[in-house]
Amino acid sequence: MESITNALAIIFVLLGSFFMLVGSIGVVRFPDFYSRAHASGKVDTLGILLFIIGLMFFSGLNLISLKLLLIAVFVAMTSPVAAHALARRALVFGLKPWKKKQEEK
Amino acid sequence: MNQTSGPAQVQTGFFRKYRGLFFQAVLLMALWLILSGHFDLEHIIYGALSVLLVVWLNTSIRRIPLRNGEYLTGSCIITHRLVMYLFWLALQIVKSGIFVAYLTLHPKMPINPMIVRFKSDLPNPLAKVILGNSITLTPGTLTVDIKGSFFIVHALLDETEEELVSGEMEARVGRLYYDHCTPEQMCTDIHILNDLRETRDHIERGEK
Repeated sequence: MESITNALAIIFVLLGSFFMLVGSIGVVRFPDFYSRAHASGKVDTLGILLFIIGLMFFSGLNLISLKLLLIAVFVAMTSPVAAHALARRALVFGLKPWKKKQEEK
Repeated sequence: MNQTSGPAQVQTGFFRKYRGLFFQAVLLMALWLILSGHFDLEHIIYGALSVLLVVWLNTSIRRIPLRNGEYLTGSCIITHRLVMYLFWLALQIVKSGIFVAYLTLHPKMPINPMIVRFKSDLPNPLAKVILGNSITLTPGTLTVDIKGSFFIVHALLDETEEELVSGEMEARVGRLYYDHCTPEQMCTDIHILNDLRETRDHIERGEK
């Protein structure tokens, strides 16, 4: 039983780290600020959630995992708000959204 | 507070009237217990006192207007649908993370970003906040601004934009408040904003 939960914990933590890494790569690779906000706002959220689920498996069913669950809930609620606030401020400031090049022009 | 009229907002009976306060107290008490970790009588009494204080402070929150002069009117959310909605939202978080990760790792990065504006008929500010947050959490869309009943959304792909303006998600949020809500009623006045100046005008001018 111990080994199963440990294995699950390792799988989830690895998945979470993978998604956080992809989120960071996305911040570098995407062409403009708004699509970067997509990368940081969504992929990172998923990464952090998976990471926390892995830690919950690791700590077992006790008070610590409940606290971790609280962290997960708050991250899931605040991260889209942060992405939205950044994007809105950028738009009001006048940052041009990147557009795909039209073929004929 | 005077209630906005509409279906599924009848507030009768003691429980329905004070349901919000009751849930608030239960959630705060759970938070207290989780964070404190002591389950003896003394700590629980301290917790109950602080919960009462916070609930009492929060009762005045509905009487404070928001920046645009609206009030957080107390229309009744349908609780079991809210629970189902949260599960659906968790699924959407996973889907959107995987989707954007796929786009990130795709060698050619097939994105075609656009900014779209649509009008929504959701009943109150809280529902709009729920919808805005959900839009950000679902695949490939990001809420940029909510002005009045207009939503300005940045979408990564044509398909995500079409899925958004089909109004399916908005109908889901609507069904938290109304008995019946179909995607066809929602999401009217769709307009793709091509120009930055146009978009900024929309944000700064607000509701017409």
